[in-house]
Amino acid sequence: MGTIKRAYLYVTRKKGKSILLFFILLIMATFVLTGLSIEKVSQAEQKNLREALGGEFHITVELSESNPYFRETDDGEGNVELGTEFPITQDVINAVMSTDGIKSYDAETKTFVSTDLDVFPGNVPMKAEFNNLVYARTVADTENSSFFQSGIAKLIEGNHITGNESNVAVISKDLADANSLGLGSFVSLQADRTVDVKVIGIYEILTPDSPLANIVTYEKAENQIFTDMNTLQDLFGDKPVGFDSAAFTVYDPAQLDSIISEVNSLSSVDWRAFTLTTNDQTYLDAAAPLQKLQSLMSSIIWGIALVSAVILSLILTMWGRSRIYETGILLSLGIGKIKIIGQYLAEVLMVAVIALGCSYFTSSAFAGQFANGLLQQNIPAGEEQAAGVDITRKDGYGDDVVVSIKDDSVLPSGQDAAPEAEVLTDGTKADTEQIRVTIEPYNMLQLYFIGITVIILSVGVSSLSVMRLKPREILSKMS
Amino acid sequence: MAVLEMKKIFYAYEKDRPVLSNVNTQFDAGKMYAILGPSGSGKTTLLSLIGGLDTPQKGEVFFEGRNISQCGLAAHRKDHVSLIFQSYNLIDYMTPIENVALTAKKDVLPILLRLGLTAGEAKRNVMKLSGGQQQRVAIARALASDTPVILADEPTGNLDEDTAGEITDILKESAHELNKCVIVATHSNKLAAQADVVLNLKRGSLYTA
Repeated sequence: MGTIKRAYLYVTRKKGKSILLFFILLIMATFVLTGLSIEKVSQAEQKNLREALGGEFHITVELSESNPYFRETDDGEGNVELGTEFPITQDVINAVMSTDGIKSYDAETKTFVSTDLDVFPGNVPMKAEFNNLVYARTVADTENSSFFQSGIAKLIEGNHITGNESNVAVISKDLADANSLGLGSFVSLQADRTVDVKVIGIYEILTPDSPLANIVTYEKAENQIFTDMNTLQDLFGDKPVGFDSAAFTVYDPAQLDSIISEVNSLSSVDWRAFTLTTNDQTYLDAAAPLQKLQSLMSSIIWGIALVSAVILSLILTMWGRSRIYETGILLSLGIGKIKIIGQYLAEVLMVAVIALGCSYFTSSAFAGQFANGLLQQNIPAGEEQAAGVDITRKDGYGDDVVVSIKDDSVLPSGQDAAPEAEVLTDGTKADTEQIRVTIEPYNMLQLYFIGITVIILSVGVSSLSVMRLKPREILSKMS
Repeated sequence: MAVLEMKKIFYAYEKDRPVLSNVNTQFDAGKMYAILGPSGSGKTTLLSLIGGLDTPQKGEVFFEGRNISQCGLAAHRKDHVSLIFQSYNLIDYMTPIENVALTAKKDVLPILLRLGLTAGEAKRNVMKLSGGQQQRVAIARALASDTPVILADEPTGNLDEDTAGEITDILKESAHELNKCVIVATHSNKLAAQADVVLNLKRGSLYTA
């Protein structure tokens, strides 16, 4: 009679022990599988968060003596102008953008210019000479600038500036209407020189300035005039011009440090002229509970596996002692020790295959609740966002970017359950309080791997005491 | 050539008090041997050494001229000898058929039927059989394994007189009709009287009666 047949007979004839073993394994497997699935889903959630939130780093001109290109000019009337001979040019941006992992950039410089337009006055009193000052905002690409991306304004006529134009402008509809301007009209801007720019686009303000806010004339949204880099150069003649700052968005904030390192090593850029700062706080804030959850799950999985191995070893050792009689008989019949251990292993595995399979259903039943319970405990309490993560990304206009991990437990069953993270920009608070946990085939494979390893160890340990004895000693004990 | 041979066997549980001392003997096929001796005289130890359940501290055991330690004790137990115990040593969660099938090299049911079990009894849990029936199952297991040697340690010790007589007859038939070498350790003179050769174990040595 073969090893498997003997194991099968034992499992089917000793029903009480088999059922008890089944429930022990089922409970252990449920915990392990729950841990595995939660760990997996927390990894997926973090990945989604990273993709949804991205990460940023900023390059700004270093306005201090540490910048060898820094210059400070005094007009003799108390006005000090700080500048650089090496600004952030398109070449610098292109060099940075050649680094892998960077998704997009937004570069801008704000320059005071005089204009002959009737502008909208702010509510902060200023000297008369400043009343006609507005910002000429030079961007690489208006469509991707934060002003338009964050929903403050929307282009309603004409085209965006894409970086290839020369002496063009995008102005607000309010400014256009107040000055009877339209597409194709010209606006005169004056700095060191006077430049006439052609209006190629008109935007509408979606988020007006707060009437309670103190805003100077040149800061008012209606007065913002977007121009191209060539216009900026024309306004200042031979002076070197460029962007004041550039913000770069990376695909994966987890890679931010390595990207920064790579950017810093670019030989075509003299980094003494610039300051490079990172911003992945948004991601870190959102991911913190999930990272804690994943870390906790890893500990739980290993803890449960260890405890399971110990408990199983103790149980099997106790049962093994009660089977010393059987072991002696089998040895006396010439059945080798390896085959006898193989039988004991096969018995546990037969029960385990069913128990581990059934744990799919038990884990599915409460893994989601368990995960969300733990997630709640991992989110800092006592704050406004006690039940969620309120993630604010400053874009200069005070809008909040809120991370929401949606609870899609209402999805029809069978629908693929890739966890999702969503970035909302509506300024409302959403929650990171719900994650949906599903058990995937990979989790089951992991469970079977861990389960079989634990069982092999347990059976091996529990068999040691008996298998060290000679058959005669076993038979003597038996007698 | 003798099926089994023991040369200069020495075995002691306590120092200077050997239970077997310089045992030299050989056993032939087709004969039933009885080893007589009082309790504690070393009968079971002698069978354990012949059966490969233990190894002598000195001396050697040969099966058909080969040292059993060199050919492997587990293989010796499996292929050369079958053991029958006073307490039957059956697996409690199996039927008689399954117990016999553990090491069977022959059809199991005909052997059980020949030894007096019914087909129904052969499929019942072995623990639900009487002592005599269980010992028949143990003998059937020995016969089904088709080994040249059958070792029986007090095989009738737990049985009533009639059943003991039947078991003795079966063992004797196995030796004579199946050409087995049957070695029975017993303190029963009645059983020993049925043996072809009676050996007395006294003070660690074997003597022909």
